[in-house]
Amino acid sequence: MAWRGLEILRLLEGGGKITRDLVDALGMTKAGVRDACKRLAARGLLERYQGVYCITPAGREALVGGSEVLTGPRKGSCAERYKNSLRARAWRGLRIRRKVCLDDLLPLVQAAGATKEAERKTRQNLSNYLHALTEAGYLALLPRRGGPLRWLLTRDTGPCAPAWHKAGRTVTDANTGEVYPLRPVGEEAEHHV
Amino acid sequence: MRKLFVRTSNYERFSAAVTAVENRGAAEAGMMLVYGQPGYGKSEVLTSWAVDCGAVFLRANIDWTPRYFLVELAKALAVDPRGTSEQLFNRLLAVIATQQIPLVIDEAEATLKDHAAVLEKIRDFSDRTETMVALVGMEAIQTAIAKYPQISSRIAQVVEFSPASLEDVALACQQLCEVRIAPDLAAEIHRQTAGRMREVMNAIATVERVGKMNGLETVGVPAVEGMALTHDWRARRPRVVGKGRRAA
Repeated sequence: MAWRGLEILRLLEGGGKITRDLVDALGMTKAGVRDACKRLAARGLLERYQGVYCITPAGREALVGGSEVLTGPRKGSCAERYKNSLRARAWRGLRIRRKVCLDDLLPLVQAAGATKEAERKTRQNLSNYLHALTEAGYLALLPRRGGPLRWLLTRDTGPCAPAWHKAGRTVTDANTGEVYPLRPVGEEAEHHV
Repeated sequence: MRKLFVRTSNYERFSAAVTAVENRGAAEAGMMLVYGQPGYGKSEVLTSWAVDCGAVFLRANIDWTPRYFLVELAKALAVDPRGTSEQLFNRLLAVIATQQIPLVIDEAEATLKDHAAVLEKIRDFSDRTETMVALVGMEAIQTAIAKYPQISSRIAQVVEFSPASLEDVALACQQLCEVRIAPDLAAEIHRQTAGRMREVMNAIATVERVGKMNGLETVGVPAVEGMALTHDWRARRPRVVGKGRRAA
């Protein structure tokens, strides 16, 4: 059945309603109404008091603003897609070590017995990811003291690894739902790995 | 030098202990103690394991209080750290119990002050959620924890990290060095480093440099005679490979 969240909010704008009122007005099942109200309540758009559903100021705002009240993932609610990908492992390593160079992370993300060619590709992938995170503000490059590049984790938003979309030049944080656009190719800072 | 994680005998023992804790009989005995001298690879092994299984890895601070620990844990799990300690504890309990997230506490000696108040809090999590907690510390930690029977009785496995064996050093030489290291030189590295993995890594890097500079496919003791492979910090002098030295 289609999502009727907005209709429920419109009905509640005229005053509080019990489940039976909403069932009659919308022609939905009791379970369907309860489920939809539960989802709206989770978003703070309505509240239930002694069996009566009432619209909240946030719910009125959503109606006035004409914003779509949709189902599906919202900011910070999406899950990490690949828990054991190279980048997910690199992010976990970053959160543990806090200050890293590429060589610190490689043993943590590489499969045992990786070939030299696989290691070269992993190194390149990891380097690109770290530079994307730096540009998005998650990492800060530490002053170079004759050794390799070192990074410091400056924005730790949670356990899910920020996803870098290379083609779209964005970093999406599954923990907060924020999307950070990166500068187009050619405009990014020069890196030396 | 290759950048791989070498599965030494310490790692194998640790893995076996993890399996034993996972298959334990008493649900509440979900804690594990890992101890050993510095340089034997405790933190490396535990970090690698935490990355593999998505465990929360916390380094205990000397000024940790139960509340400070809860806030650190909340930050690691991206849980709202506000509210009373009871509210925070319950919020964390729900996340850890539902997701079954193991916990690693490095430098666990710092949890023992004030009659092990922080360790008692950690024990609460382990008891109620039945998730695994790995405590990592130096040699004296086992004796210190033994003073608290309510905690020590919940430690299902104890893993002592010992010096790397000759086989471990040979394995590290084989997997990490981009030139072949002859068995006599691997034995010399083992002797000089006394099985400390940190020093083994430095020695391998030196040997690889010598091999590449001289275009050698295999580096043995004769190729590095008179060279310093490691440094003796106590005597404050480099350890030089002696002439005519051969593995015992």
